[in-house]
Amino acid sequence: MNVHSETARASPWPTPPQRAAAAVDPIVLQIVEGTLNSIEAEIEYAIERTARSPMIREAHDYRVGLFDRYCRKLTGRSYSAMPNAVVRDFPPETMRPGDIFLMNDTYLTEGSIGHLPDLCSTVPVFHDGEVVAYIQAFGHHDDIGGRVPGSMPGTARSVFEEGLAVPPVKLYSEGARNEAVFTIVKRNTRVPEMLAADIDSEVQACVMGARRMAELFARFGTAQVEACFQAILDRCRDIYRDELLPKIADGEYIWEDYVEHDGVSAPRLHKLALKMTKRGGRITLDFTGTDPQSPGPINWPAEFTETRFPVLVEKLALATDSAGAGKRRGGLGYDKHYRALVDCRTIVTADRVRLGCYGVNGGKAGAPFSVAILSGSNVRFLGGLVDGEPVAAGEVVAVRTTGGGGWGDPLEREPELVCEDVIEGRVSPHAARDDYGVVLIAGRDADHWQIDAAATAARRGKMRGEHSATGAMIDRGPGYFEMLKEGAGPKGV
Amino acid sequence: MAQAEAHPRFRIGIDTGGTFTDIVAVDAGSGAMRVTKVSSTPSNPAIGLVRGVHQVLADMEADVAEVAGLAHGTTVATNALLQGRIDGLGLIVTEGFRHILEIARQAVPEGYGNSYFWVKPARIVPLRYVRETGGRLDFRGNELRPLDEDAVRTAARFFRNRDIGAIGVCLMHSYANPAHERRATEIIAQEYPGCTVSLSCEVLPEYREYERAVTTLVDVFVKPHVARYLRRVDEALGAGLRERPFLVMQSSGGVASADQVVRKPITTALSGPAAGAIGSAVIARIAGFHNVVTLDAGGTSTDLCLIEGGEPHLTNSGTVGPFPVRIPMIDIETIGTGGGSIAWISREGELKVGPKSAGAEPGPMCYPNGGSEPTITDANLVLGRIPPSLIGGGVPLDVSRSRTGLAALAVKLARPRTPAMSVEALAHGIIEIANWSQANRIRQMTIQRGIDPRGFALLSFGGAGPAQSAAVMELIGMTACIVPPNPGNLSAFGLLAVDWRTDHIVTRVMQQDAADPATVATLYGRLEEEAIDTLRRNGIEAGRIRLQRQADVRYVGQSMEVRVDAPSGAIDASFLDRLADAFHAAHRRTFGYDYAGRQKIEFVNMCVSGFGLIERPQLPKLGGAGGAPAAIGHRSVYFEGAFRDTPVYRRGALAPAAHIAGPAIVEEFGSTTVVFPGQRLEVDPHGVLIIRSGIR
Repeated sequence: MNVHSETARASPWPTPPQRAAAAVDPIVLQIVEGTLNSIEAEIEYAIERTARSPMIREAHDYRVGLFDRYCRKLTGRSYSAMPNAVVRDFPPETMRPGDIFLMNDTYLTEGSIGHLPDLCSTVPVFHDGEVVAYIQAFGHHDDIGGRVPGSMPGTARSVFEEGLAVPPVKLYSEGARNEAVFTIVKRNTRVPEMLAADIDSEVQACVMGARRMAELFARFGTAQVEACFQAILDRCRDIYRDELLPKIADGEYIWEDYVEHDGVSAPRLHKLALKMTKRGGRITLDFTGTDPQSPGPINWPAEFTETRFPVLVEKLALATDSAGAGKRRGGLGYDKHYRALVDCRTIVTADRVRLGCYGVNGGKAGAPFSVAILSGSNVRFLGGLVDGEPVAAGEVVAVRTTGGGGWGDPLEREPELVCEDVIEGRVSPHAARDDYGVVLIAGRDADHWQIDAAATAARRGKMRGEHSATGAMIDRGPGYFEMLKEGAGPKGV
Repeated sequence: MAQAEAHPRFRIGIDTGGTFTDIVAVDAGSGAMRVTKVSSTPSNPAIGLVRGVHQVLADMEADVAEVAGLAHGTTVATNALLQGRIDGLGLIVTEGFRHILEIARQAVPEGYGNSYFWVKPARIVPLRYVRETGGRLDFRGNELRPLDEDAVRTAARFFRNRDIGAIGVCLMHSYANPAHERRATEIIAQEYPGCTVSLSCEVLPEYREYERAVTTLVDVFVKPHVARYLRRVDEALGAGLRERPFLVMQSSGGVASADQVVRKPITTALSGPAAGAIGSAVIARIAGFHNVVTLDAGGTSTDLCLIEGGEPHLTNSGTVGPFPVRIPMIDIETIGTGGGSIAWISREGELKVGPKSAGAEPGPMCYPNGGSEPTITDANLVLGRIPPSLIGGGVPLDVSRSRTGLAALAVKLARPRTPAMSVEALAHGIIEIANWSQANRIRQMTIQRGIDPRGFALLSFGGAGPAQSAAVMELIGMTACIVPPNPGNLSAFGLLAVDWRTDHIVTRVMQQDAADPATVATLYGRLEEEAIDTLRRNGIEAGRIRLQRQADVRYVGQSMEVRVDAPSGAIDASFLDRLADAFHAAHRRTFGYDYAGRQKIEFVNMCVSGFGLIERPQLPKLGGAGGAPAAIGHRSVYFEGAFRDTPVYRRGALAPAAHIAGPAIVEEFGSTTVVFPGQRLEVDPHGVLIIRSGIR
C-alpha cells in the first residue's frame, strides 16, 4: 500500500473520470466481468502449465493482474503487482503494440514488488490505436542471483545481497526482443535456462490475455467496456463504504508485532508497527512494510519422503495442546517424528521459537515452534537457527510447529466443543480443565468423555475470579515476558 | 414376434439420469437402432431401468429371448457421494498417522495465494472414528514391526459397538506388501461379521498415503449402495433377462461385469458421464472430427470433456465432489449452468444466471407445475428457439408464465439510467450471459490442458445443449458445432460402443540406471496376468483381449509423475530406453520442455489396462437425396434485436448432404438445434449435423 503524500509534482498517471461516459448495459456488465475473471484464470493456467520453477508450478507462487488504463485493478481474486511504475517511466502515449515491460526493483516499482525474485511482466492492451488496459504477471522465480541460491538471504543487510534489481525496462519493443536485457538477466541467475523459460511463459500468457482483453473492446466498444470497469470498481467501493467502514469506529489504532531475529544480530525482539487512523469516511495507514511470508518448502507425504530420503516417518500428526486456547480455538501445529536411518545432520530455520502466535481478545497464544532430538529416553532441544546438528542413525528428530492463537475468553468456549476436542485428541483432558475450565469424566472408552456440568460451572466461576480481567487485547505467551526479563526486548523499551 | 427360433441379436444400452432413463437398442445384425425414454425412478432406479428395457423391446416388437446383452450407465455411486450424507465410515491406519485425513497433503489447494479464501472441507471420516494399529513396513515392503493384531481386534470391536458398518484400511506402504492389510481384514471379519471392508492395497496399490486412504474410503462408502442397487436390478430383470450379460460402465470409459464392479465400486463414480464421452468420441470419429470438446447440457449442470486424436482424455488425479479419487477416470469438468439455471437479481442489483437451478422439480416456469423464477429454458421459449412442447409434443409448455416471470425480472433490474428492458431483450441477454459463461469455461479447461480451443470442434448433446451451442462455438472461434443423432440419448448409445476394461497398477520407485529389466518384466508380467484373469473370468475369449502397458515416470526431484504409454513386447534394456524416450516426449508435449540427456529419470508406477474388445455398433448411413430440404413450418424466432420468420425442420426428414442456411430450427424427439443467422448447417452421410460459421 502506498503512503499518501502531498507533493507538488504532477502525477505521471492519468486521472480517472468521476463517472463512466456511458450508462452500463446490465447484460454486457455480466459478460465483461465474467470474461475478466476468465482471462485471469486462463493466464494463470497457461503459466502453471508452461513455467519451469517449482515455486511457480508446485507452490503456485505467482499472480496475475488485469488493470484499466488508469492502473486500477479490475479483478479481486488475489493480491498482485501494479503497472504504475511502468506507466511512470513509459507514458502510455509512447507505448506501441508489441511493447512488453519487465521489472523487479523493490524500490523503483511504486511499492508493487516485495522482493527481487518476483520478476514482473507488463503487457499494454491496445484498441483503436491507444492503450486501454494492462495485463501483468509476476512469479516467484527460483533464483535471481545474489549471495545465496534462491535469492532470499536471511542475513542480508542490503537489497543488493538479494540479487539483480531490474527497474522498469522494455523487454520487447514492438514485438522485437531486447536481447541485452535477456543477456543481463540470464547472466545474473544460477538457473539461466529455467529463468528464461519462466519469463517466456509469463510473457506469452500475458500476450494471450491481452489479445482476449482487446477482443472485449472490439466486441462491445471502448465506452461500454469502460462503463463496465467503472461499475465493477463502484460496486467494490460501495461494499467497502457501506459494509466495512461502518464497522470501524473513528479513532487511532496501533498494532505491534515482533520477530525474534533478523538473521544477523543476536536474537532480540524486533518491532513492527502499524498505525491506522479512521476519521469520517477515510482510513489512513501509517505502515511499515514487511516481507510477504515465503511459501516455505513443499511438503511431502510420508510414503513419498521414505522412498526418497533415508528416514522413517514415525509420526505425522497434529500436536495436542499446541493451539492457543480461546472461545474460538487456534489451529493446531504439526507433530512430526523422523527417525534417521543413517548418520546425518539437521538444519533448522524457524521464527517464533519463543514467541507464540498471539491470541486476541482474551484468547491465548499458541505453543511456539520446537525441535528436539530424541535418543532413547534423552531429549536434546535445538534452537530456532541451527546449521547442521549431527543426528545419529536411530535417533528421532521431533518437530512441533507453531500453533495458532485463540480468540476470545477460553472460559466462554462451549463445553460441548471442548469435550469434542478432547475426544478427538486436539486438547488434553488436563488442558480442558486448566485452560478452559471444563471438567470431563472419562468413560470406558476413548470417545466416552462426558461433561461434569456442576464441576465445570464451579471451576469456571473460580477461574473468572482469579484472572479478574487483565483486559489485555493481545497475549504473546510466556516467551515474550521471558525475553523482556533477559533484556532482549525491543530497543528503547 | 416372439418365435421359438428367436436368436439374441439386440444389445441394449440404459443410461439412468436424474430425470429420464434413456434406452438405446441396436440390432447387431442390421445395425438398426431404436431409442426411447422413460421417467427415472430415483428411489429405486432399477424399476425405471427394467421398464425402459421392456418399453424398447415392445417398440421393436421383440422378445426378451432376442436380447444379447445389457450395458448400463448408473449414477448410484455418484449420487451417494454427492447427495447423501457421508457417515457410518471408520478408518484403520498405522500408528502415528491418525491425522492422515486432517493433514491431507499439508498444503492449501492451489497454493499460497489461496490460503486467504480456502475453507478446509469436512473430513470423510471424523477423527474419533480413525483408529491406529501398530506394525510397520518400509517402502520396499519389508516388515519392520509385525502387525499389532490386538489393536486391529480392538478397533473392529470399537466400530461394531458403534454401528460403524463400513471400514477402510490404509496401512503404510501396503502397496508394496499387502500382508498386514490382508491379515487385518481377516481379524475384522472375525470380530465384526457383516461389516463392509475395503483395503487400500486392493483399491489403489499406489504410494501416497493420503490419496490412497481417501480413495479407499470413497470405495467402501459406495460399496453397500452399489451392491444393493445391483441386487435390485437383478431381481427386477427377472427370468429371461437376468441370464443375459449385464455390464456396467466404469469411470475409465470401459465396461465391467456387475460382479467385478461390486468388488471395487469406486470405478463407477463417473459411470454416466463416461458413457456420454465415449458416445461422443464414436460420433465425432464417424463425422471425421478427431479433436473435439464435448458439451453435455442437462437441467442443472453441463459436463465438458476433451477428445483428442479421437480418444477421450483420461485423468488419474480426478475428484468426485470434494474427494480426490486416484483411479483412471474420463477427464470431465462440470459447470453449474444448465437449462434449469435461474436468472435472478443479486443484492447489488445485478442480473445473474445460475448457479441456482430449478432442476427437474419444480423445473422452469413454463413446465406443468413449474417453478416461480425464470430460467434459461424460459428465455429460450420466449425467444421461440425451442418448440412450445417437449419430448415430441408430450409435455406442453406455458409461454405466458415465462413471459410474466421475465417481465417481473426486467422491472426489478431497471435503474434510473437504464430503463426496463423488453421481455425479449432480457431473455436474449440471459442466453448471451449463459453462452459467454460456457465459452469462458471451455477456454479455461482447454488452456489448462495445453490446448488451443480454436483448433477443436464443439460436440453438443443432452437435452439443453444444441439450442445454444452453435452460438458458443462461434464465440470461441471453434471449427464447427456437431450435433449427433438422438442428442438426448448419446450416453445410452455410448454404452454400446465401449470395450471391457480393467486397470491394474503397482508402485516401485526405480531410477533408470538402477532399474533391472528382469524386475520390470516380472512386475508387468504379474499385472498382465491379473488383467487377463479378470477378463477371462468374465468370459472374454483370448482373441478379443488386448493389453496396454503404461508407466508413471518423472525426473528425479520432481514430485509429480507423467503417465506414458510403455512399449509392448519383450522387456529388456532397450525397453527401458524406449520408455524413457516416450517420457521425454510426453513431458515436452505436456509442459513444453524436457531434460532429455540432462537429467536422470525415475520410474514410479507400472500400470496395465486390459481391454476386451466388443463389436461396435455401426451408425447406419441415411438414405435419400440431399439438397435443400422442405421445412415442416415456420415460426417467429428472436435473434439479435428482432424476431425473424424462421423455417423449422424435422430432423428425421433431413437427408444426407442437405444444406440449410441459418437462421433455422431443427426439431427432434428430446432436443432442438438452433442454427444462427449467418451459419450453415450440413447433414453428413450418417445424419450428424455439422454447423459452421458462415463468416470464416
